[in-house]
Amino acid sequence: MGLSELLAGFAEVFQPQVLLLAFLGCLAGTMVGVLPGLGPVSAIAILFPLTAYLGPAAAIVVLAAIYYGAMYGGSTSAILLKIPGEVSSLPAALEGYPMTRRGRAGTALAIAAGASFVAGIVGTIGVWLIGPHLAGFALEFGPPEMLGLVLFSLTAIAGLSSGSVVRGIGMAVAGMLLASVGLDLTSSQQRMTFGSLELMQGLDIVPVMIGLFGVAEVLRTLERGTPVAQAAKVGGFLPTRDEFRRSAGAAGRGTVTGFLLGLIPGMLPSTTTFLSYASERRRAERKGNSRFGQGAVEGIGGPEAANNATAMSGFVPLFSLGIPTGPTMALIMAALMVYGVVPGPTMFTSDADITAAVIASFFVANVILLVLNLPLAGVWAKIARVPYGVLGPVILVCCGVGAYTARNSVFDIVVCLVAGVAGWAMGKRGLPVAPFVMGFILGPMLELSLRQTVAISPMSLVESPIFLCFAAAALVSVWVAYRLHRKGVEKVDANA
Amino acid sequence: MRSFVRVAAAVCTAALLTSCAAAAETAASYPSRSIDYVVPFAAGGSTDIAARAGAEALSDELGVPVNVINKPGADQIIGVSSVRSAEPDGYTLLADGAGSSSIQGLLPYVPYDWADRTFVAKFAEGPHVYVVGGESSYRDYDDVVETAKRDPDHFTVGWIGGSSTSDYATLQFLAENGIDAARVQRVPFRSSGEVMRAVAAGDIDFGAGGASSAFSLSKTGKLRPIALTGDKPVTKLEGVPTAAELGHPGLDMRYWVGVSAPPGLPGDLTTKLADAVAAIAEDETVVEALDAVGLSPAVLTGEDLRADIDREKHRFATLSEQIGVAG
Repeated sequence: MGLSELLAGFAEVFQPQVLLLAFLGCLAGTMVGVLPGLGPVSAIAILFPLTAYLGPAAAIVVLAAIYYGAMYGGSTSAILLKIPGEVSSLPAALEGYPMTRRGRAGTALAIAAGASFVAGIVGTIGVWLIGPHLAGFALEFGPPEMLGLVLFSLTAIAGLSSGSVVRGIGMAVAGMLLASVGLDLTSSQQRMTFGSLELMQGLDIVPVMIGLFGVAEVLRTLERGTPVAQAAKVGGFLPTRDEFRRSAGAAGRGTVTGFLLGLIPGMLPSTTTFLSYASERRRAERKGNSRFGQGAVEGIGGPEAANNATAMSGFVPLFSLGIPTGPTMALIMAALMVYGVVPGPTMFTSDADITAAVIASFFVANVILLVLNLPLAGVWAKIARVPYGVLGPVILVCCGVGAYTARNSVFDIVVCLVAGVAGWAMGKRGLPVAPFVMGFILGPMLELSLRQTVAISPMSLVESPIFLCFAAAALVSVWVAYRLHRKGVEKVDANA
Repeated sequence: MRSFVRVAAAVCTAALLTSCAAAAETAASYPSRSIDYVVPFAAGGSTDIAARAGAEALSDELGVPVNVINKPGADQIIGVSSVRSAEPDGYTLLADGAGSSSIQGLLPYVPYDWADRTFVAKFAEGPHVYVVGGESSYRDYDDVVETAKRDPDHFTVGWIGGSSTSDYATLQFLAENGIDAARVQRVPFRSSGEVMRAVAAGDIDFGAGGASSAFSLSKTGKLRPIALTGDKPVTKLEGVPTAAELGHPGLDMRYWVGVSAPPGLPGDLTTKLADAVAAIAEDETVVEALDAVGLSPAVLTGEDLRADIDREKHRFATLSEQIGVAG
């Protein structure tokens, strides 16, 4: 697809009706996403039925706008209230909230919005220019390659554990165990269901995560008595020179890795944001000036960029091969199919008009979101000043809604509340929660790719150069983590 | 203050009375409010798409909103049991299919009597497609059969947990051609879409899925559809032979989508709903939407439908005995 087709796509998007739809999609997505405990998953679930009345191009424009809007909004409530609505905004909660407490909420919001914007625009250009050439990547990544990638990702857990690595690994294993509840994939044996119908469907990450962070944060605030955020100022938007330099570099790295990993089916933004967070953290620790855990701007910029870049590059395998990389892409694919547009190579040839309009709308949506979110940041920030007697119950209700909409299951509200108490208790005992979530996400991927590899042929591991590279990288990663850990221990000993 | 309480009490009583009236609704007044149409799968799959097309048409036909609600998980048990435990008032319906009815008859862990529900009507059905890799050495149907027969231990097929018609289509293929299903390597996947990707990439030898799951990849040439089940061709899979054309009329595994209700739905409501479902199957736009995802209208109601599903269950039982486990 050349420039002229893309310009025709822009002409299509600049029609008042389409612009309005894109704007409304962004706004609705942001509104839902900004509610504490609600993120892209909930926003799509709540707003998807409304897109049924639109044509194929308009439906995708609106769906994408809602998706991106909810991701922007999700980071906002994560930064201001430490309540992420989706796993991918977890890093924003971990690093953004400490900044909010220091009265730097404005800067944190601006960095998140800026990084998302840059990644969104770069990602869109990527989909347009190199998308068709990279599509084959989705087919290169079979079970052995996926297994390698998951093994490598698991080593990032060490980078996520503040303090004891052993505790981090323990929590990751606990996450994997809980994620394995439900029906076995091949034999349909029940695993840890205790005969319960609800447990048979397994535990969903969304209610678990909302509980571990959202509900637990409400409990902690109640315990403290006074919410800290309430007293804090929003502060200016402009980052300092140093902050800008550090977050821009992280955003650049996040964009590239997020985009490339997003081409792989099964790679969700939740995984790539964690990888970006862990690698930025390790990078900072190697340099010896890590501020992670106390509001490191790299921990906001990198993961936010990775998040958006992954979301963008998911369109490459979808448009070129009809392979959805995650649930949202599956929905967009369904919307296309209903209108008789079959995703595939023709998306860049005979259906190029639709594709061009969609790509143009991504540019427009990213601009709308930036324009919408920077001025609104001040408004959203006022949320944190609502008296906690009002805000607390509202947050709890929103968390319940977020937990429910993931699968329309009342049981998930219970899961969310139980996870909330568990999250509060883990905080008390100093157990890191992030590795738990990482284990929860990677566990099922590890199991599936391992079993697929074994069923196909275990020998395929040795024959796959990609697997061997990842396995080597994983070993190096463990060794580096061990060295860093040793150094840290020596330092503590020296200080003592 | 007292008057407020009195007004509140009156409002509550009125509301209660209205809801009682609603419960005792007759076919003449039904439906008077929105209907929940529960899809026991996640959004985006073949059943979900067909159910959404059906819901929109049903909404026009009945004059009330029909809301699609996805309740995925646990081999469709969650979705089905939520509908079974709802009031049999016609306002909670199930987007039923083989995976949520006859196949459940084979699963030992289903905590209810699978047949204990009101089968209202089915409105659409579609064939499965058998695929091999575009760059594989398999040229056609007979090629695959020959290789698989020679060395079943190294023949890898996609498997989606055994609770879907796609898996039964695979079992039917193996049985029809005398390939030992217990020796074939079943590689687990989460959806037929993932199976198609793996076959196209050459990770596995063979896969089956609803016809629409092969639309995209077959256009790239990376996926080679070798046969469609049944005897009707599919518009978007031009040139793919049907099993009947290849001399295997026994390969007729189809998936279907319909409407079911909780046990005890009053007869007049069942009839009215069945008539509405039958009417939408003739609607041009619905037929078009179904065709876009490889389905065609196929209406079957009441006892005929129940008997059909019962037959289906027995066929599934025979097939699953080959691999020694139910489901």
